[in-house]
Amino acid sequence: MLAVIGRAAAGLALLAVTGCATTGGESGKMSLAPPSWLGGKSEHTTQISGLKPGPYEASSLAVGEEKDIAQRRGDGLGFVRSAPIELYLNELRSKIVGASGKTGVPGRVMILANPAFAAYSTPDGNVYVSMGVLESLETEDEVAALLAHETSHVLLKHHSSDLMGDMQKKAQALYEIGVGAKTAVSGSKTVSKSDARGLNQAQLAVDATDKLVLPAWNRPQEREADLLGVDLLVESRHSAPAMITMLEKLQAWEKANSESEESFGERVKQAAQRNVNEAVSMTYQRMVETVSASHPKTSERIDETAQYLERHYGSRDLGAPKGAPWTALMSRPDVAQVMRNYKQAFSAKKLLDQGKAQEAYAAAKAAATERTATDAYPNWVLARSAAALGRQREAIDALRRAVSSTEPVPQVYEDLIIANEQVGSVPVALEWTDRASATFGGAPRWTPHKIRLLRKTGRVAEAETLTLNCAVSTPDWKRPCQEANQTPAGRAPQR
Amino acid sequence: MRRGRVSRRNLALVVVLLATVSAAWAAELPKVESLKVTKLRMEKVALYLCDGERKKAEREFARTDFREPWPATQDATSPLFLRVTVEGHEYCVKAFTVDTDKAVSASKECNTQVASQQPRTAATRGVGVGCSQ
Repeated sequence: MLAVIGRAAAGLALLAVTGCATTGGESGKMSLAPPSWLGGKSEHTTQISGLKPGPYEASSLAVGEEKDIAQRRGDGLGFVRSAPIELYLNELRSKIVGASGKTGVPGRVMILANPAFAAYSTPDGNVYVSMGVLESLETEDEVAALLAHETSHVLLKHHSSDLMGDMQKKAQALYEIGVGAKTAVSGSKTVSKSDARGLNQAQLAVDATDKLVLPAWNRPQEREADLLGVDLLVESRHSAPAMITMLEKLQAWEKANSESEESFGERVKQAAQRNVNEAVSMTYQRMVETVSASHPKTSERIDETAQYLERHYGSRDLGAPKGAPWTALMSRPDVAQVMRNYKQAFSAKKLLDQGKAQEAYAAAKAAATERTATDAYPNWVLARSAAALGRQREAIDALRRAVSSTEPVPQVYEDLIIANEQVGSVPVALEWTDRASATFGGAPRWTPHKIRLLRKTGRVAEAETLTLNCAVSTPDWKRPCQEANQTPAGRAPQR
Repeated sequence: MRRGRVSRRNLALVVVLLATVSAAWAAELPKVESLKVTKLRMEKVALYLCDGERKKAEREFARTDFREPWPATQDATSPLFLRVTVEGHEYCVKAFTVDTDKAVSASKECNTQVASQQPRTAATRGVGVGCSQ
């Protein structure tokens, strides 16, 4: 049985690889030419010349524009809503998409409530940019460069390579289920040595794919998105050198925020005092991350983009970057107010984490005013800091505003679930879990909560089914789901 | 004689006044940032005459010949060019073709959560997480 599952797993992984190879190309048609992300493109041709004009074919990984937005809202700290910024960013994105020659490209731009320099796109065509990145950029052309880079990932269907990791994890989950079934059938309470070895190997394979193979696979993709981004900037009449100044800002941010060797050494030392295995694991992770995450180095990306720009567009008048439209938008009183208030909210959260409740409360109070008076994130931080000062009524009011906000944040729901669970209102906590799941597009983040609470209410069979489903359909969440399924079972409800 | 002495005094006053005005005017001018070109991004970088149309390179400079930093300033006529001094001569160079020591400010945001899981394919990688405060 295990051999069959093992072979099936290998087959699935192979299928994933070949699937990527075909979907990576234009329209998924079989082609003898190597996919562009494998570096098969001549340096004499532009990236855009390989993009066939016409209708955009939706990614097989797309879940729907709105569902994708709902799920991503539940990933971090929610979204910052500002109609003027969103309008501006979406118009800019439309120009970039229009310049690609592709029609019917789905998606829109959303602003992440996040002070870091971050941006990403999804198979649904949505582009997510953090508040931190918007604050760092200085011209409309730099903003266009960021959007052009992310839109390029969508146009080139780069997300398809995620399929490999997903399929491999699903195969591993199935393999584990097979081992579990075999152990149960044999009546044994422990997994045999050979099965344990197989499980370890499967986990190692998944780790290698996640940490080494996929990032390596993604390196050419990042470069390709930079270069197609340059083409799109030129075609949409933006100043293409802005791609380089945007990357320079990313590089400066990376430099300012990378962990120093000394600081890492200190962390390892502390971990070693607690547990040697943890320290070894940290060192291993660091080694893997050094190989994967730091490449391609941003400096290399900058050089390659500059060479591409000079090679293909060096003789053209590239136009000076326009600072005025972006500066005008960011200094609009309504926009500036939203940006300022969110910065206050982030600062309040930081102060709260440092145990400075009074200062955190003052900053949160200032954050939850005017245009952001009913926003979920500032109110959630206010509720937390008010509670830390024993101002329960104020905390409840702020939490109420946060919950009824039109732009919800997951932390509020987490707090409500845990608070109800702690006071013994497990059915109410379960209700909040369902509400959270519905609000955030069925994001898997809520599944471990549900499994834990189901077990506490004695609904063990439901918890088991959900755990199985979680492992197979959302393999990234397999471990938290399995851990939640270890919760001691409560008394089953009376029928 | 007397008239001549007055004129000299007036002249001195005018000189002082002019010096003051020009100093104030100079103070209002945007400061020209002194930079250094620290690296060439191309195998060969085109150097243009700043007074010309900048369509045809006056000369090319090979990366392998780049030994020491070039003094540079932002070109006043175009933000896309830098004025550089190479071997005692002034040229204009496309700013994106070279790396400079220009400071790019960046905020420090540690332990920020970008997403609950690993950043996806297209994400700017998870930098800043767990960095030293």
